[in-house]
Amino acid sequence: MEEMINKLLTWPVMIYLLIITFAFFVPERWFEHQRIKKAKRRQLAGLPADNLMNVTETLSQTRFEAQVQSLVFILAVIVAPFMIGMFLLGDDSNRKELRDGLALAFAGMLVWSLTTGTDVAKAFLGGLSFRTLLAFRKPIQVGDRVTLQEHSGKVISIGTFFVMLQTANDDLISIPTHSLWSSVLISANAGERYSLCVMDFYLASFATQAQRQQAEDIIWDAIQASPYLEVSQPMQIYLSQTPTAIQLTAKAYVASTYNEFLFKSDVTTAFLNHAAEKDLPLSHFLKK
Amino acid sequence: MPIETVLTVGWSIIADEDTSDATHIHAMAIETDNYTAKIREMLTTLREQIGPDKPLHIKSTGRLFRRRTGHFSAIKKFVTASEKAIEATLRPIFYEIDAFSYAFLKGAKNLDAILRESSQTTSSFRQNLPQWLNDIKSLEEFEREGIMPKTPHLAENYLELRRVIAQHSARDERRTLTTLLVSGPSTSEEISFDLGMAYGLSDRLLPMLEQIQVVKGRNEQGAYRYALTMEALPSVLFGLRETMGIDLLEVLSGV
Repeated sequence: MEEMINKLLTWPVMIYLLIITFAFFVPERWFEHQRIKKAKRRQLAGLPADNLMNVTETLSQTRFEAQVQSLVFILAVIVAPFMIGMFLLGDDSNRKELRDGLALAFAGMLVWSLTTGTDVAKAFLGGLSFRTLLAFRKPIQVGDRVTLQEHSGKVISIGTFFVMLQTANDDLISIPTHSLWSSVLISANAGERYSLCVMDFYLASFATQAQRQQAEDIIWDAIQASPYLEVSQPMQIYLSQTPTAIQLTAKAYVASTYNEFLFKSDVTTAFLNHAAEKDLPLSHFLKK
Repeated sequence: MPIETVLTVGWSIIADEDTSDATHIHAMAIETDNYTAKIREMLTTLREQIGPDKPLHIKSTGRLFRRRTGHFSAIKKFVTASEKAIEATLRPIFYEIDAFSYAFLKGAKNLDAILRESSQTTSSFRQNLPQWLNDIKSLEEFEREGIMPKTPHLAENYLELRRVIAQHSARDERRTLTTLLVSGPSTSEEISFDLGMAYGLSDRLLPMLEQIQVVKGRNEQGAYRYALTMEALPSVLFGLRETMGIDLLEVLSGV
């Protein structure tokens, strides 16, 4: 045991541990420094602190940071000991003890990191891996409207330790990033600005064919008249019958996923106004 | 056969008695029993006036609709009837339409199947497009990094507009700009009606937008209408893209 400790208390192992420590903190500090510099430049240009391009900006920055952090970490843990062994220790047989110590540290680091590391280390590694996955596969992205572990909201940030969601009520929810490996990830807009919006309208069961057609025409027009509509995407309206009403379901895309409620409100208001104007029988209305 | 269409920018003023204006042709034809025949007759008269082979331009086609529930029938009727009315002897004939109205009609109404962008002539939209894309890219860098755009006054114009549309509560301001972009020059009453805005809000909003030179008022067809200025268009397009998600240039990129 003592021999093993002595092997680890050597300068190559110290250099290795120092490199890993730097790999943990330097990229994070560097990105923070860049963010401060950018904020100052924007301020000098007369721009307020809030960035109008926050979503796309944060998204590309998160991807870049995740890629750099992963790369630096891999280099530090895996490549660094080989480089130290190759360039600083060489083939010299007198340095076998030092090489053994370094190999031991490498193996220990790997086992510790992957199996029995501290919660912080596990969260860090899990989070980092998840961020790396997001950078390449993009199941969810910053700015997406998502449902994660039964919480719905807009993704504010994807950090190494936490994914932050902002709910419709402005609550901030922090979900441990490493826990998302085994979660179902639901994204309403999958990285796009727009998302599908489904709206139901109800006519009374006794509505005539002409009235049903009129209602459908009004819904089409109301959707197309809304400034929130994403015009490049298709629209659909279909009818179904419930025990108490004729249901018209409209599917259309809202240009910005955050405006879904405003879009629905726009279309519903226009529909109700015209239904009242044209005396269309809505559900639960008694026939005169 | 599709109608050759030229995409315009800048919303030129409609002269009261311009017989080559789509709004005038539609207004005359709708009074008759045979809408298509009247359009054919009016186009034939215009052709005779300018002589054969010269390109005949029908202006302001996009002004036949407003983006409002129940206001799309005129443009649909006019375009469908025109397709039937245009005979070989009437060609070459070009229907002019504002590029952003066209983008909307293309996406929402599929009217690009009838109104086909012409390849025979370079439209003012296609001429302006590279500069706009360049300005929008500069505005991206400005917003993201604080790098000043090279186009003179672009940053100042953008900052003025940004103050209006960046606030979370600026819902009506953004909707107004979207309406002006698609429906074209509008009176304060038209904007209020289209968007169901509180009485008097557009009366306060439009002069304020005029003050920062985002819109300019003009007297047209007996009313005072506000139109977006050409100088403000890159900022408006960029601002609406980032706040409302609306990207009409993208819709037009696939034309």
